[in-house]
Amino acid sequence: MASQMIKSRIRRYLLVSITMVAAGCSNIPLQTSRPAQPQPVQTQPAPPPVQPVQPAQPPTQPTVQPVQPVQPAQPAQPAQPAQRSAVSVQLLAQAETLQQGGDLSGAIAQVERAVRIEPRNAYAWHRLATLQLAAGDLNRAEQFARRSNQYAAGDRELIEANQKVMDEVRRLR
Amino acid sequence: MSKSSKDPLRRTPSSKPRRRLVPAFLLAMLLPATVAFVMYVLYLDHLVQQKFEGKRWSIPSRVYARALELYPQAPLSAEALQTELQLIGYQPSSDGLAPGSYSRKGNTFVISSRAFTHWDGEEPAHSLRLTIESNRLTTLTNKRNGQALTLARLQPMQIGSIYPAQKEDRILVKLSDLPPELINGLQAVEDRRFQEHHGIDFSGIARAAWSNLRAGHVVQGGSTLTQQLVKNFYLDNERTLWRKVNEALMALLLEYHYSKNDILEAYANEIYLGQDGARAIHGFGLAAQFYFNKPVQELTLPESAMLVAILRGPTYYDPRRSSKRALERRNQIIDTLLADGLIKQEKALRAKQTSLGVVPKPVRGTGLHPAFIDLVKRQLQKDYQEEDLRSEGLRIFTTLDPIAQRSAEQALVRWTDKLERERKLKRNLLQGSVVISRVGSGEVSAVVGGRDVRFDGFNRALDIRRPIGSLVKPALYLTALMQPQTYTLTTLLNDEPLQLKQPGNDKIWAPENYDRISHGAVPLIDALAHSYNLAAVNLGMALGVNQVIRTLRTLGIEATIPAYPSVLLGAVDLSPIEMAQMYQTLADQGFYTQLRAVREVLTQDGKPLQHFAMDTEQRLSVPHVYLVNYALREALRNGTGANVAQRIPADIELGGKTGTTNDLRDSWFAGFGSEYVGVVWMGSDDNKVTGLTGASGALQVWADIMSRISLSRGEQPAPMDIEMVRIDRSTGLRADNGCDDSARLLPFISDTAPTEDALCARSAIEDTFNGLFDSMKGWFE
Repeated sequence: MASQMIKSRIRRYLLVSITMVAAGCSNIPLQTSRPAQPQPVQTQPAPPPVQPVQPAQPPTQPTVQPVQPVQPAQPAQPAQPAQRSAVSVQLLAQAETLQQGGDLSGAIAQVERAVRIEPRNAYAWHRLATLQLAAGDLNRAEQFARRSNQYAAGDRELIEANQKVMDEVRRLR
Repeated sequence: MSKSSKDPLRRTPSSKPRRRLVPAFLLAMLLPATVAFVMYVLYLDHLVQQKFEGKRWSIPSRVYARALELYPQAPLSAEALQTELQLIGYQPSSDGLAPGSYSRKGNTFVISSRAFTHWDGEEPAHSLRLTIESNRLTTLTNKRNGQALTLARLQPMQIGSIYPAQKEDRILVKLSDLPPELINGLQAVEDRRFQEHHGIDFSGIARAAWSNLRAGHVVQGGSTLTQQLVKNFYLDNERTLWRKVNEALMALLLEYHYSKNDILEAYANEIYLGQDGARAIHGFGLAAQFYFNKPVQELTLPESAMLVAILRGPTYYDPRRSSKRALERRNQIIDTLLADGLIKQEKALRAKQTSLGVVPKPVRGTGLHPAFIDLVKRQLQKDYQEEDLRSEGLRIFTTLDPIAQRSAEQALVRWTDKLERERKLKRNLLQGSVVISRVGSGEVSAVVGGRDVRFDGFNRALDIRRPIGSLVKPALYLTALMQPQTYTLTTLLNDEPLQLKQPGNDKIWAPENYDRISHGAVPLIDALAHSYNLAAVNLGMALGVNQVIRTLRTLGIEATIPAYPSVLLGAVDLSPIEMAQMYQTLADQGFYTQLRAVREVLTQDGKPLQHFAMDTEQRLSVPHVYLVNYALREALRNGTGANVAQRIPADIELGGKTGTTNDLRDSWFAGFGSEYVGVVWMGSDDNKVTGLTGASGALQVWADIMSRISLSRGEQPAPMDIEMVRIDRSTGLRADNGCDDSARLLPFISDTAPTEDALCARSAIEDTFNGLFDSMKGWFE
């Protein structure tokens, strides 16, 4: 009986994930100004709904950089934790690959990991917002965009991108 | 969940011919007895099949801590890393090159980590070299090729299990997982003719009887592996003839229905191999983990031989307690393998020279962090039945941070002991509890439910409800600061006596300050930092009690709070975890995130069952909360917390609030830094007077924990819409360089800072002007 309950939970989980992916697909043409109408089922995974802000540096560069030992002369951490730290660049790149392969929940898990490692990474929160938007979770999308703004520290480009997410959420509601 | 249904090795029933041995006339004579016997055998057959086909074992749910993430710049101390490695059972060695081992030379570690299936992906085994400097991981490279690594994570510590009623524990293995030496050794020693017999081995029984007769006592058992499995699997421990008959019948039935491989695999998982407190160690999978801290696939010959050696008597041959006895028996097993031609002589000799290699008893088991597991269960009980948690072998990935948990446990124990000694309190009068959570995610890192940290009982972190005292005040001041045009940190509040009628009765309530002095007009920031009660009540009455209660609710307090004025001073009973929720929302600058202890639940075979997705909700404006938090930092550094705060390194950004209740019964401290939120309660179970204030009791514990676990340094940037203005301390007006000593830098929401200059600023301008005037005069002299 117990195992049946578990099985039915797995079924429900799968159903929910499928619905989420489907919801993500129907939200795809966010950037175009086409009126909201039922979209044909797409066979190919489509690009992310809101273009993520481009990292300031190409992702390959910082993967090498922070490995060098820090100068002990600077004990204090920079006031703004490196927003494009190697670790977040790597995790967000993995998330990107997963999203393009259609694995939204896998992508979300990677960005959640990035947010856990760097809770003040405005860019990671932004990606969490765009992924939840793709997954059709409007509440989370909006709140994560707000969270991203909390740490954006005047990064205009990022704040605009977050505003786009929030506008889109409002439009879909 | 049935294992056997997927097993390709399963033999279809009735593959053997039934033989009619009994002559018909005899059958007719013994008909009633035969019918009864047949019925009985059919009944046993039903039992045998039912259990073997169904879910064979209740598997406890395994509960894991968070996995430690290693990446350059990670805040991490060498001591914390070493503790973590010990907790996940890695063995120290000289080179750290064997899987599951590490070496440490100063601040340089070499770690050979094992592969692990995390809930969000597979982590391969790594060979890592890393260095730590000033509490920061500075380099992380692949030990083999020297390449820099961006990110690696260790396997998480298993912090406990949620057990079935009988507390049997096992890790299920497949027959193909077991090293051949283990399977061969098992058969050679326990049941030489296993592959030939049909469940009962008559020649074995005869041989055993002969040996026993010669020896004068039992030296050898005649039970086949099948019989042993039946005994453990289906029958109780009674030693009666009837049970022996059942055992034989059931062994025959089992062999009739199932293949040798099926039976061997069931045996390998069923067999009892040791005891860990209340937890019974069953099966080779868990035994390999329990004795050697490695997966069964990695067992060496001497290790396999040891497991075979001890199965006759896991207590008698306990390799940890009776190592000599266990070693002798292990070597006998190796000799048997050699004699049977199963291993080569050279290999046998080498194996016999190896030490037992048993690791110290792992620090896990049932009751490592019961208060945290309690929180895990409560979070899961909304979605799962207790029975499923106990039996379905779920893998539960929690948010526990073993380093923070240990720091919290040790600090609470140390300080309750110390305070009782120093203050000559009755022994064991003091109790306490701690909740630590992470800023940003709201993930609970540590829960301590009392001084006896292993005691799985009353959980004071979740269940004790006590007046929160001044812990309420940030909500009160936040209510004011949410009206920035009326209230700023420098607004002067009236710290004067007042008398209030409590609603519902005619009693007069006349609150007092802790020092029983009224301080006149005080700036808002100082009223909060020094916890002046009269200023708080005056302000609260001006704002309205209901408004303050609404702010408490916004911050995450869900309990119903009656609208009495005394609520303004915290006359409301709440639990430490509720306080943690409130301060979490403050630490996250107005973003509410429900505290949680579980990230993910996987089924026994690793399929995702439930993901607790990250969540957050902005409930308050960031700059408003920033002002309160600024005042809380002031409270810790220069206000009620100042004496203790001197011990905390000045460059850790921490803030928080003391709480002391009537007659010094409850001592609270709640606060946060840039990484963790922490709440500590201290008091006595029967609400006796402890003589402790928030600062002299709970804050001591809090400061101890937070200064250990907060590794980030430096200030976090102020949010947008905040400007910093120099303010003259005595007047609350704008200061400048003329007011050096009495001025301080304070944050204001844009366009709300005082515009008027303080006297010192004005005089400074005058001085400059006069100076200029004087020198000008000089030109004409």
